[in-house]
Amino acid sequence: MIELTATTRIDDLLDDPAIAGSLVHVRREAAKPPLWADFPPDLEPRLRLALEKRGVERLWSHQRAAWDRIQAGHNVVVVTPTASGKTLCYNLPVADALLRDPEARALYLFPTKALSQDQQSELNELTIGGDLGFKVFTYDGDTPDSLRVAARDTGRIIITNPDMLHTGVLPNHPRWIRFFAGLRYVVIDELHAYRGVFGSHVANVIRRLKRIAAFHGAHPAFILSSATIGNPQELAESLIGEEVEAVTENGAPRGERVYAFYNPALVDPVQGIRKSTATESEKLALILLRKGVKTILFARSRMRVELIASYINEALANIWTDNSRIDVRPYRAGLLPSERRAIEKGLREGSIQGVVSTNALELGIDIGGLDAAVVAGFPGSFASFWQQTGRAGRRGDLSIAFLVASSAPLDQYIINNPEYFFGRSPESGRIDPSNPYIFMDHLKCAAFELPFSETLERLEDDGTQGVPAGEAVSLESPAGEALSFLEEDGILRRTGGRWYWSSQGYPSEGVSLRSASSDNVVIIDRSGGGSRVIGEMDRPGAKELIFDNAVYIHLGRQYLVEKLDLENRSCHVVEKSVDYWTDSIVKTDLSVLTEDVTGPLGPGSAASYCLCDVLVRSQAEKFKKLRFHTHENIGYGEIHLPPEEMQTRSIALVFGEASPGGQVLAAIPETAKAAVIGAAGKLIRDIAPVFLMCDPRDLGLSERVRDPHFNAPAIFIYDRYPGGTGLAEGLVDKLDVVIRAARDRLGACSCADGCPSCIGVDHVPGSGPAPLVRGRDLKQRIRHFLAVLGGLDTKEG
Amino acid sequence: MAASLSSRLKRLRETRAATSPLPELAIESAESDHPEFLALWERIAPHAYRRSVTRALDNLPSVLDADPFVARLASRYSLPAILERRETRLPCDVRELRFFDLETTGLSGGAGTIAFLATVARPSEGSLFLEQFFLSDYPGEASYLRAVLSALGPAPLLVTHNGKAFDVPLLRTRCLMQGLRFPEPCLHLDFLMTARRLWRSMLGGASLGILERGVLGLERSGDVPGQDIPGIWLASLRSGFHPLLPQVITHNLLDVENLAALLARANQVFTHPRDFADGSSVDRYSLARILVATGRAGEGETLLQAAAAEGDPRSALFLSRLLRAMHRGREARNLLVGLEGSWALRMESSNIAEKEEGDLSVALSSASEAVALATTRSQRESAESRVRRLELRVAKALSLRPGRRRS
Repeated sequence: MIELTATTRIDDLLDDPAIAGSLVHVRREAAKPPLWADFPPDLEPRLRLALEKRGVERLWSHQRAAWDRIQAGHNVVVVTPTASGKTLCYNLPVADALLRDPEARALYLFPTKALSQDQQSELNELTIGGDLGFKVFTYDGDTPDSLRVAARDTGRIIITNPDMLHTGVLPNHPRWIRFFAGLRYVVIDELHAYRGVFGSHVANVIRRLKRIAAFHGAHPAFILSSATIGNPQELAESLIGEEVEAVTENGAPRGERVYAFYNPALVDPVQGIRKSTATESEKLALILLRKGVKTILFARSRMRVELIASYINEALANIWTDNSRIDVRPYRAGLLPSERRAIEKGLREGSIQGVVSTNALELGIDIGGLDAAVVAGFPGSFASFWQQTGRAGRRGDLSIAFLVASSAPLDQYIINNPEYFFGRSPESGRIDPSNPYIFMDHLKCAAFELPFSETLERLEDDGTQGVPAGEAVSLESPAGEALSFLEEDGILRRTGGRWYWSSQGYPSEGVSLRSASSDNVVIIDRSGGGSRVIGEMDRPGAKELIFDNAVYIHLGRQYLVEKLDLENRSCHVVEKSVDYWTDSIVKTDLSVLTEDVTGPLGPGSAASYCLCDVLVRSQAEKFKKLRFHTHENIGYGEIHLPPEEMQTRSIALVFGEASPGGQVLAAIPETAKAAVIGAAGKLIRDIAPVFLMCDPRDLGLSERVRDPHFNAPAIFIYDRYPGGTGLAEGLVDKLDVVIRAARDRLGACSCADGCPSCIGVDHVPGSGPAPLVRGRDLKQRIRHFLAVLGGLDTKEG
Repeated sequence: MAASLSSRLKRLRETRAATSPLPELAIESAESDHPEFLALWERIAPHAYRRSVTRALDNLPSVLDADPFVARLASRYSLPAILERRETRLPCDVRELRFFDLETTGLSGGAGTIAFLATVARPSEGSLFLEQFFLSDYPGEASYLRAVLSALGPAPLLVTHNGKAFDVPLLRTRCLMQGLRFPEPCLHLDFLMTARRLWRSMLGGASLGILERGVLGLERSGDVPGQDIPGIWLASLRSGFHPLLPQVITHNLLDVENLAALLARANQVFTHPRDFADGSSVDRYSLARILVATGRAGEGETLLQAAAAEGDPRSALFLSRLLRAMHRGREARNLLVGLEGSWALRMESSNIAEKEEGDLSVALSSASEAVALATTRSQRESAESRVRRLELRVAKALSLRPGRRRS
């Protein structure tokens, strides 16, 4: 292996003519030495000995800082980049407590099963290696029944995931009486994973956990760890509903790192078409691998991962040098756990030199050190980007990370504003534990676990942020009201001052922490008269994707939908080879239910915004048949399905007649108005995710030339999860920056008439007919419009 | 935020009410804490009731006499194991014998499922004394549970049907939730395990209903299906007295009464197994295995002979092995003749031929047939290794080396 140790070698690489022309920015970050701290003097001697046996003789400063605050009785969140010894931050206080008190217990929560397994092996090393002698169990869906009893009764540390806690542990807490009674610490790793819908659910699960622990007499402290995000303390506090102190100064050493921004060359500058991100990333990875640089390539979809990995292997196999011995593997969700473990091991031990992965490897799975990361397309959030690039250079050596931009507006904005990229603080994780749907679901689960009792007192923590963490609820609080609703529905019974679970079901079974609704449609393959379940889809998605006569593609096979039966939640398909795919045309209608907060937009009050509750009605009425490869439209079909309705949170940008923004629109000819509002809205929606730490698909867009509620033109950007997950609220704070960023993107775009990197060449497939006005005029008008909204010199546009 | 959440909740509810049918109108029943159907019950606390019923015991005398079978109950959890250890000394008092069953608000368990009806029965002076406890609303649970626990006694000798998986864990959970100590049974006999061995193969199941019909010849009239029971109690909470509630209470009473009768029948079977040799009412094979395992090989053999004579291959095979173990291998010789081939039978035939009769060629041909009849890989491998071993023996017997490779 050639070691990437010399700066000259990096320079050689960056001067490579195959690369240099497309590099738009190179940034070097210097190495940083470690900051050491001594072991705390009061550390349990057996623990100290065990650590010394493993060669750990002192701590990094942040590990000691975490210890000190935990010992002072605080909850702590430790913010750490990859490979900075975060596990010791929590293993140290936990092991210390378990050694001192034989009744003490700890719960470790990891967002995925794979991470739990990693953690168990690390803990086993510490416990067995040091003869500390306490039992550690992983308790999840894969735990055999025979081990479950032992885990419950004798496990000192239980490692699990939020889903198992939610459906398996909490509803059966009387079986865990010893565990809960002794619960001293709850460790929540990968805090940044708990945002959006998932985080909002988990925040409620944590409140249920605290409630049950309190019932059994325990009040555990929380230790959280997070990758770099903008608001670790705030996110941790809203997740657990308690005050948390943040340890943000990292004492671990870091090697020198080079970031290179790579923008694939324009093939057609007029239409804004660039070379493919996937092909260019593959090319970079090949150059690196051939130089003996261990490389990880991140791609956005499972399909791409498979394709790129196979292309790389083909390219390597074609040459007759030693390079054919380079082993590159795809890594993604959907592989068998054993297959994944084998790749992780191969990477750690060096028998695999390259890996192409989805964000599945973003989380803290241990794969040892790699020298280079190639990120094919901005991964959607800065936090993901830092996590992914952090995969390179884990040993403190020199490393390099490439960002290969796609032609999406988000990517083009980022790659052309590197100073902004590196200068800004990372985005914040947001959750809304009070999403009424999520809240109601967990209130039911909580009532099943333990009846609520009512009180006339006003309580501090009574459901204003998710499920109340105590047994008592004041009648006047939102939780009290919600309990009354459940009572009226006959789900709970209120008697003798308490609300009792009064239904037959097992409520947590019907509540999924990870998806919008649990009433999924089951996809059944009826080929050859058989009946085989091949997949599942949420109901709203089913209406748009697997309607009658739709083409459904699964693991590369094509199926034709025979019948979507929403009532019975089933969809019958038959395997059939066709040369087209189908795309539904969805009509979205939106109406305002209530206005919550209104205010001026931008420094110049060019328009106003309104945070509101909306009803979104979407209906797929028609579908297009598109030929594979050429995407040529070869026909239409009708869809006969009821509309999908959803209440959610939205932000509305309202352009009243008197406002500068409204005046700009008024001056635009009627025929072009819809196109200007639509394209401006799309650009804002496309840029917003970078400021909200969400996926672009989490945001919906609806624009009106004349909105009946506001009686003015309006753009609605709404949360696509029923009830909202805090995205609309988050956007209120970021509106000005988002609009300015959208304008900058448009201003910087080199295309003539609009391209995929700015306002698009067409509307997004399925969103409606193509706009009537296109081209240079449209681009100019939108630029001007956004400039006015951003409070900038209106002449500029 | 709080105000906003509350208005959002209201709206959420309004739209739901508009799209889904209205729930049943709630009739306040909690105030009249004495529904009429409970008139003959004793009110032991608010919302907690008790009654007792005594049943004649003409079909249960042996259970009550604490005969050897009940004595043996004491040593293990399932009948075969009980009988294996011929202990006569009871670790717990036979007077603590309690038949026990619950009715609950859900079949999947969990902390939110409660038991609203319990029947505890014990033998008493020649009859069966049944106590029933009924919970009419949640706040009475602690008093109700205390009464149930007191009827069970401090260390009961419990008999249940599927109580290991369901009733006992559920009751333990309820006690924990109410801060009560659950008395660990001195012994818990889950009759489901016994019933499966004795009757499942003939009756197609071992649920209480099937056993009542198939073993006791009883037919319940107007019974409530078990899966409807949670809904009936919950509905009565919401809208007052539910007309099916008395039937639920009878259902629970009959469950326990018939459990006692079934245990008596099982006892009869074990005490006089030869009476059941015709195979019309118990699974002779399973019964024989239990008898053999408990040192009653002679009685077991009688049953097996009868079953094998009627062509039951399982019995024939087991009997053959039993006879060989008792050094009566020659008697096994004709046992397997004429039975339909299976891997196990051919392997056994091969064994008999080799070990009892010294007929290697018959042994070899049976083993070869076993290879062909194997249904799993491990069966095939063990048959093949048998074939190889026999070939080697044949070769040795003929003083020929099988090949030069093994020199």
